[in-house]
Amino acid sequence: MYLQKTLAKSPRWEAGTELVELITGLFLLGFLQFHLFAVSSIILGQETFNRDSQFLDEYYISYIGIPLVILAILVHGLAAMRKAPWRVEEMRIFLQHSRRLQHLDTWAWLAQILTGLGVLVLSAIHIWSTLSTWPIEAAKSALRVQSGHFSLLLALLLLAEIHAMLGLYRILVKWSWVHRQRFTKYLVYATLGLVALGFVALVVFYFTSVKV
Amino acid sequence: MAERLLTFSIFRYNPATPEIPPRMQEFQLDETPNMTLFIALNRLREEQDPSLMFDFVCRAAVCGSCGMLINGRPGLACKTLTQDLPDRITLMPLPVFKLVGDLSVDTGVWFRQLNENLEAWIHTDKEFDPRSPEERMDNTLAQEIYEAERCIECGSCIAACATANMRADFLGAAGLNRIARFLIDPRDERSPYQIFEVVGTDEGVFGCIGLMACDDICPVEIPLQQQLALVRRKMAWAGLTGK
Amino acid sequence: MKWSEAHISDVLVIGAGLAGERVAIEAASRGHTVTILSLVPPRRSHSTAAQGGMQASLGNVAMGYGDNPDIHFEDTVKGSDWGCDQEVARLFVELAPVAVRQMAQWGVPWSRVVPGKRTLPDGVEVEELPEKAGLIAQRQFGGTAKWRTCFASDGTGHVLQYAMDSVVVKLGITVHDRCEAIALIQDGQECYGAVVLSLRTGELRPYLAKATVIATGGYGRMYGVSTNAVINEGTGMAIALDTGVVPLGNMEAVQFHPTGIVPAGILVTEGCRGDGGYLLDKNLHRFMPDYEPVKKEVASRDVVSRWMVHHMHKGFGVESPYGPHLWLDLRHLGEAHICTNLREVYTICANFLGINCVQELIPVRPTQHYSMGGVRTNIHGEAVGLKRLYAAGEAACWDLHGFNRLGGNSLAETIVAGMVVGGKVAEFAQEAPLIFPFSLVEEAVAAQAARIEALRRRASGSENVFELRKKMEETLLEHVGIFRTGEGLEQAVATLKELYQRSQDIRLRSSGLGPNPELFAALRLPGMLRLALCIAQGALLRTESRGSHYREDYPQRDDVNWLKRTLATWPAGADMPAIDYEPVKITELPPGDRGYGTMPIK
Ligand SMILES: Cc1cc2nc3c(=O)[nH]c(=O)nc-3n(C[C@H](O)[C@H](O)[C@H](O)COP(=O)(O)OP(=O)(O)OC[C@H]3O[C@@H](n4cnc5c(N)ncnc54)[C@H](O)[C@@H]3O)c2cc1C
Ligand code: HEM
Ligand code: HEM
Ligand code: SF4
Ligand code: F3S
Ligand code: FES
Repeated sequence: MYLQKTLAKSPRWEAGTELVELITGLFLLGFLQFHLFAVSSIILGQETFNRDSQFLDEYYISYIGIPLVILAILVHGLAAMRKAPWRVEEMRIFLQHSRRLQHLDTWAWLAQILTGLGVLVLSAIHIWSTLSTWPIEAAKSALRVQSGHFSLLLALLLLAEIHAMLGLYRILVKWSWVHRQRFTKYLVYATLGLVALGFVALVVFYFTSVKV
Repeated sequence: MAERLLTFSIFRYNPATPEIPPRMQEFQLDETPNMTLFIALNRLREEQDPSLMFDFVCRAAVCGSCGMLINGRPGLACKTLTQDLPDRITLMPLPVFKLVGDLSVDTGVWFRQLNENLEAWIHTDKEFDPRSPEERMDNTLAQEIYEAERCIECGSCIAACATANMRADFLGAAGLNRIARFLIDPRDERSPYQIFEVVGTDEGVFGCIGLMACDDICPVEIPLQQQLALVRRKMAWAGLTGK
Repeated sequence: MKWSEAHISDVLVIGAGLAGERVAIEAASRGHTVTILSLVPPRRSHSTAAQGGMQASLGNVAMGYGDNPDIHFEDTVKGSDWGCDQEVARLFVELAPVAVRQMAQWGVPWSRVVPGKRTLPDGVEVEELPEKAGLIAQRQFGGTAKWRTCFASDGTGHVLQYAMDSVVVKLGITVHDRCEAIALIQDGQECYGAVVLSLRTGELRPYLAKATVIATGGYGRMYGVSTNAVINEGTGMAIALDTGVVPLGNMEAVQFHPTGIVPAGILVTEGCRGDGGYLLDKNLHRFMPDYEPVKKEVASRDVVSRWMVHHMHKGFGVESPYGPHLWLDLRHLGEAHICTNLREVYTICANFLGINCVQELIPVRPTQHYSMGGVRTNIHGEAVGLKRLYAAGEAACWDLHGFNRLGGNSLAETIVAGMVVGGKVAEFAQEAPLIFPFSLVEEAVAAQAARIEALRRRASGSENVFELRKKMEETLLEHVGIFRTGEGLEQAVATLKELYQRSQDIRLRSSGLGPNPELFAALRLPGMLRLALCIAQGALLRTESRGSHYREDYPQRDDVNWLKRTLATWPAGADMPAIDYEPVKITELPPGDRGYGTMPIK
């Protein structure tokens, strides 16, 4: 027993962090899917998209939701990244270990960390650019997509969905009583479906003619 | 079966001769039917290099002595048939545990320490009365306890877990499974919160990030995913309620 | 020798199996400092391998109602072929239920009684009563009148050892694993401890104590093919024999199990035959009905083993790189039955043979299984011939098993003996002062150091330890196995004697430095050969058949001349054991018919 460790240990704090990670993860997961469907309403036409956007605006959902999402991303990032291999030695152990073991789920954790970091950077750019042309309108979005944001959003779509679905997998594995084999394939289907939907929406944006 | 010539690449290091650095050494051996790594390693020792160190006890996959990295994956050497392996077989000692020499590691001391830390015994105030009949227990519950109790402390799940490899003080799946066993046993009178103080930490159950290598590799097929999730739920609840 | 390295405690227990740990717990809970030595971490001791169960007359299940210690006593004595000590058997049957219940309190998840009707494989219908629900369940084992074997699914030994060790951890008892006691420190009167070799470093260290307990298990691995763990090499018995004053009892009594798989020697349960499996020879002919028209495959263990070997001797064995074997055929039982009732058999076949026993035949042959003989003690576990020395478990000849042990009686013995002997040790340690003659300790360590030095220097000699060892294994298997004849035994004694001479001339091929397996093997072999000679010589002299000791030339039990226990000692410097006999204590049940197993071979 070491004095410094004994005094520093606070199990309830550590349990709290774990729950924060879980709750922010779930919240972001919910947001991401909701957001994807909202954005995908472009497929049904510009009017639908704009109506959605106005609806969110009118009931102040945007004004509460957007800051909350930003906060959640930051808190979630901090809570989740606490177990990442930060030290060079840890990183090397992790990489050597994974290479020896050749085990899918272990690689998946690396993927989760990397996609998480990717999402952090790309979503910052993305959020910044959408907020700077507030309010949200189909025309503005289409313009943005056509003037270079297409690939950024495609990358963000892939990273975010993979990260979120891996995250959901991880939550089910860590907390539920259902065996992994029973749900893995559905998560893969869901990821494919959501990415496809987002991709179609992006393509629609790309080919939407914008009245200037 | 076609006769094969197997090539073994084996990790060598003898702490008594530190001037010879750790290295991989190659051996060749002709395969015989139903050959396990137990048979192969003993033949290598008897026929080629009598100083080769490795551990077997039961050679029947029940004692947990012979965990090693077989082509990179932790497993029990005694129940690994060479016919399931390629011509080239790489053998290394389990990581995380202290090396005794060559393929032999000190899992015993590690697990004793673990069991001391977890206080892995039945805590009860009841006096034993030699004359009274046993207390009753439902058979289903006995089976559930047995399911967790089946762990043979082979250390495979520890060696397979990236977290345990990076953080020396992580309890690992074997430790958490051991706690699951006491959490469901009504004979142990500890409250969940008493257990929470020991395992409700980042060295304990919250250090596990669900890598599931433990669950995929456990040679006695303990449902570790479910066992760990059970501990996590109970510990989160105990942490929230303080009970 | 550095005195600072000496390790001192009140009680030294050599062996961390069920017997050793139970002794240690008893002594420690009465306030003594105890040190346990073990070749391996305690939980890897061979006790963990027992699957079947532990006998205690609880009478909880339908087929066991009305059971009591008297019936258990009778089964045990008959099983032993009247070779056991009946006072010990009486003490044992009375305490076995206590042991089972205490283990329950320490955490063993015994399987429990589930009320309701069910049909047994042979068609009999039984009903478990609701008032017994939740009590410890029991199953059938060979040679018992009632169902009395308590079990925890398919891992009884495992859960017993883990529960036992959890109490050792709880009491904070010191355990030094990867340590081998290679000699006792004694002066022919009293024992002061042991010289111990570290299997981590190859260094020596004296362990001193008021009382020393040998609980080192059996010697199965001296036979070429055994169900035992590879660490069961009889070293504990060997160091007792080396004292020259402590006798080993009934060493010729060696039990064989009919169905060990080939080549691994791993046991597949008796249930295979009980449930209707067949034994086939190389022509796929079912041969057991030819020999035993009534009982066929389900005759008793020793009977089936004998016929199997007999049949192979006649040339009907299946040839394999690992020697001849026979087939066990389960295919007709069907997948459903095999994968539920015989699941462990299915896994063993898949893991160790790479076969699916639903479609394929299992290669089996009779395999060495248990050693009834051991360090002769009195009913308190005190070794005969040397004060302050005790023994318990399979290493001891307490004499519960006589010439044949009943399945399920040895797990029970380890724990009951642990309680009894532990109590006696604690009593003794309470009174006795801690003394040890300095020069004696130094001499004992120096003698072992000299042996090691000689081997490490590789000065002279040309013998290869593994070769000699293989010859010993083969000799015992061939001539001191299931069938014994005067001629074969004489040959065995001659070969073993020669091997013993040659073992003085071993030369290491490796450096012998550090935890060197060749060095360890070389240190053990002479002691093992001395044990082998005790077994062979005892068998040669015993001109009768009793229990598992079967002489083709003397197929009948002979109570007039041989109702006595063999005692083997090894006088200093001798090249053969001195064999003596003592009467068997008969208190309640005079010799009679066992009711099974009479099978003189024509
Ligand atoms: C496959 C199999 C199945 C069995 N099934 C059953 C069953 O169903 N029911 C039943 O009743 N019995 C069964 N038995 C028999 C029973 O398991 C054993 O007889 C019993 O467990 C022996 O216990 P023990 O404590 O005497 O010795 P062990 O458990 O063998 O322990 C010996 C200990 O001594 C240590 N040791 C040995 N030599 C030394 C030394 N020189 N220095 C230091 N330490 C040393 C070892 O490390 C070990 O810790 C079975 C046996 C086998 C082989
Ligand atoms: C919309 C954005 C995001 C969503 C929907 C999301 C979702 C999730 C979910 C559901 C989990 C599982 C939570 C758990 O295991 O308890 C998770 C874990 C994780 N997230 Fe995110 N996340 C997002 C953003 C981020 C960002 C920005 C980062 C990094 C800075 C990040 C890093 C991680 C890491 C490292 C984990 C693994 C934690 C662990 O297993 O211990 N995430 N995420
Ligand atoms: C919280 C503030 C956010 C707002 C207001 C917002 C708004 C928008 C808008 C208006 C679009 C349409 C395209 C455009 O205008 O560029 C869009 C697309 C997209 N957003 Fe966001 N977003 C937010 C956060 C996020 C976050 C946190 C992520 C991911 C982690 C994300 C991922 C995406 C993706 C992937 C697309 C493309 C969708 C598609 O494929 O059609 N957004 N977002
Ligand atoms: S949980 Fe499985 S892998 Fe881990 S130590 Fe126990 S038996 Fe081995
Ligand atoms: S591999 Fe390690 S991180 Fe958890 S799920 Fe298993 S203990
Ligand atoms: S030797 Fe016991 S598990 Fe392999």
